[in-house]
Amino acid sequence: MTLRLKLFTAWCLFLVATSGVASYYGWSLFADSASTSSSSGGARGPTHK
Amino acid sequence: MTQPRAVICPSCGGSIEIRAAGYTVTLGCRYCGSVLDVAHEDVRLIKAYRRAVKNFAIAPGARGTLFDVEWEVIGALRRRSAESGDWQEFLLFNPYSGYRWLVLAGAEWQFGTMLLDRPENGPRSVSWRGGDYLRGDSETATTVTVLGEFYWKIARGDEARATAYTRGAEVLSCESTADETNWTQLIPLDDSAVSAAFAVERKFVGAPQRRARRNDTDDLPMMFLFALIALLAVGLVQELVSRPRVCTESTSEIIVGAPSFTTRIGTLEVRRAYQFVTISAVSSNINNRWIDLDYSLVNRQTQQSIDAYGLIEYYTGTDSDGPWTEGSTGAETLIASVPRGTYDIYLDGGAHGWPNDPSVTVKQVKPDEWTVQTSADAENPWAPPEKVTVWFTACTGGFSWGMFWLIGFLLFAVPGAMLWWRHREDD
Amino acid sequence: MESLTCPSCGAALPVRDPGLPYSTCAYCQTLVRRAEGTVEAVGTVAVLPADVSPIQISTTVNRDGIAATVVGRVRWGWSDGSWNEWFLRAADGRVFWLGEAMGMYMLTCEYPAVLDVPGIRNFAEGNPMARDCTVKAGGKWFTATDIKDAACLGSEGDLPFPTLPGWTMTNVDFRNAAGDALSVQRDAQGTTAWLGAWSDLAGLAPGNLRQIEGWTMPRALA
Repeated sequence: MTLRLKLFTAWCLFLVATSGVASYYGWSLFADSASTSSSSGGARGPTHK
Repeated sequence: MTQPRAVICPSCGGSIEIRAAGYTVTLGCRYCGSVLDVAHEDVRLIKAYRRAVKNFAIAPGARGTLFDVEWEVIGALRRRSAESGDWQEFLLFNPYSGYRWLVLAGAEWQFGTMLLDRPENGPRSVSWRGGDYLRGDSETATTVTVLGEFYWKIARGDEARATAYTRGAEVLSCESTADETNWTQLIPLDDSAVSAAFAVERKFVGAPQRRARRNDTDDLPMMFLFALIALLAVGLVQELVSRPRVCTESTSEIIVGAPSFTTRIGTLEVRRAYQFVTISAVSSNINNRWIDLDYSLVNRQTQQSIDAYGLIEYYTGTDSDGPWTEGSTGAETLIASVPRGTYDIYLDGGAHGWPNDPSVTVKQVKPDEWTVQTSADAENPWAPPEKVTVWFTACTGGFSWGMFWLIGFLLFAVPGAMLWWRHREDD
Repeated sequence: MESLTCPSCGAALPVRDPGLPYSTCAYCQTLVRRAEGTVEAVGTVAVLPADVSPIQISTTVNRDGIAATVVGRVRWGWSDGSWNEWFLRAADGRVFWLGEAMGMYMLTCEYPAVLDVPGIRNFAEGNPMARDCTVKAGGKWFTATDIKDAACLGSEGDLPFPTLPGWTMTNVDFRNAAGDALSVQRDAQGTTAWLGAWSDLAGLAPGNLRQIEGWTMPRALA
């Protein structure tokens, strides 16, 4: 196993652990919280062209 | 006639001295990597590249003495085959002794001399100057990079079928292209002999580093495999760790065009310090309608509320390309970091039409009762208003696809970048 | 060695080989035709491109009973490169070509017998030569490996044909497994065949090699 493959394996394990911790605390960068934007108000419609 | 010939690279403008003037036909520019045809007085650009070719064990221009002859490295090639990975070849020149080759494959150096005579073919071996050479494997060798001078036409991507015939440590290599077949005698050369003769780049000196380097090419598939395994693990971990999953369901009817109204979807208990709450909403068949869904999770104890939104929109139409649809009739809302507690989930919802709301009249009949009337159907002003039904499922726990794909990107970015970098080095 | 002067610039025009009709003036590149003690300028030869050939006019070779001296050189260019052909004269009057390619040398003497071979006669009549054409010459079998249309890029010394710009020829190289060489050349004067062998420089036992700047002549060759 080369050094860089070992480093990459460590990186993989780090990301798996991070995802576990994030899930445990219900934390996500992509949550649909109201502070990000609100759906009510403005008119909507298709963006189809 | 004795002054050296210098050419200007038509691609980068760099000035390059031709060392084997009169013999050299192809030149790989040392400034930009472009491959030039210098066979004639007017230099022609065969293929332009934008990056200098680097990472050779010996830099062209180096001189050294091997077998009592002084050689100048005038060209360097990186070649590759599926079977052997990458190796390097150096073209040596001495005007009185002609051309020789120096080959670096893995940790091994070889000294090559082109044969003027041809070995005689046998079924599994060839004989040359009284010796029998056993036929070994054949492989297709592809030229990856070209630097310096060559006495024949050469370009990146050139392929040759190479077969090795061995007798002890000595190898006869037969390389054929569509046009010609060349035989080269290769004899092993000691590391120290090469290092003593030429300035060999440090990372190519000493076997351990080189062994690591040889494996370089092989660990990329492993990285992709590891990344895939890690991504599957991430999916499993996200699914399992976000539990326990408790759900509540309800159904609402929403009048299209009416002002938004508020209703309670249900109650959920978050049993861990923090959890996701996922609310999925699925509507009945709607068309050219959108439904705003503003959710509030109100903590029974503290009365603090967490807000989130969802949106269902679905449109259809026809244009010059034919019918189209946009959106979907469902929406999933992920609420992050909901602290422990019992929550009432409220919906503030409204449905709308596109491009216009059906016009509705809302009348307050009693303080507590409203009637809503759609006037779209003028024929029948008392027709019931258009309603859409939405089924809600709110659950603790959840799966953040955004996080999943973000981590997927971070996993695959590393080997992906290496692959891209390698290809960049190749062109 | 009798001495003539260049009709164009008046410089001395050494006669290295009185048997050859053409000579290139080393000073003004005038191609001179010599006949019965008279000289006549017939045109201007292109300046030879710089090269690092170790051969020069007056270089001697000694191989397989051939002891000859270089008296002239023509440089040929084809679509993918160029090469030198050195013309040599032996003391007994025989002439040789020394072709120089890939740092290797092909020393040949004229072998007209092969011109009667149908494949080569066909070529001599102006038809194309088939690659992989096989002929027997000097008791050995040869295969055509290399067919080139070449144009004269310049010359020096004494030569058997006029090397003016625009002089062209078609050259067919035949080889065999033993390293023998057969070269058939067709130009405006006709077709000639030359038989010999490939060799490295040391194998020619050369003398009077050119001193190339920046390089030490190996002791064995000096």
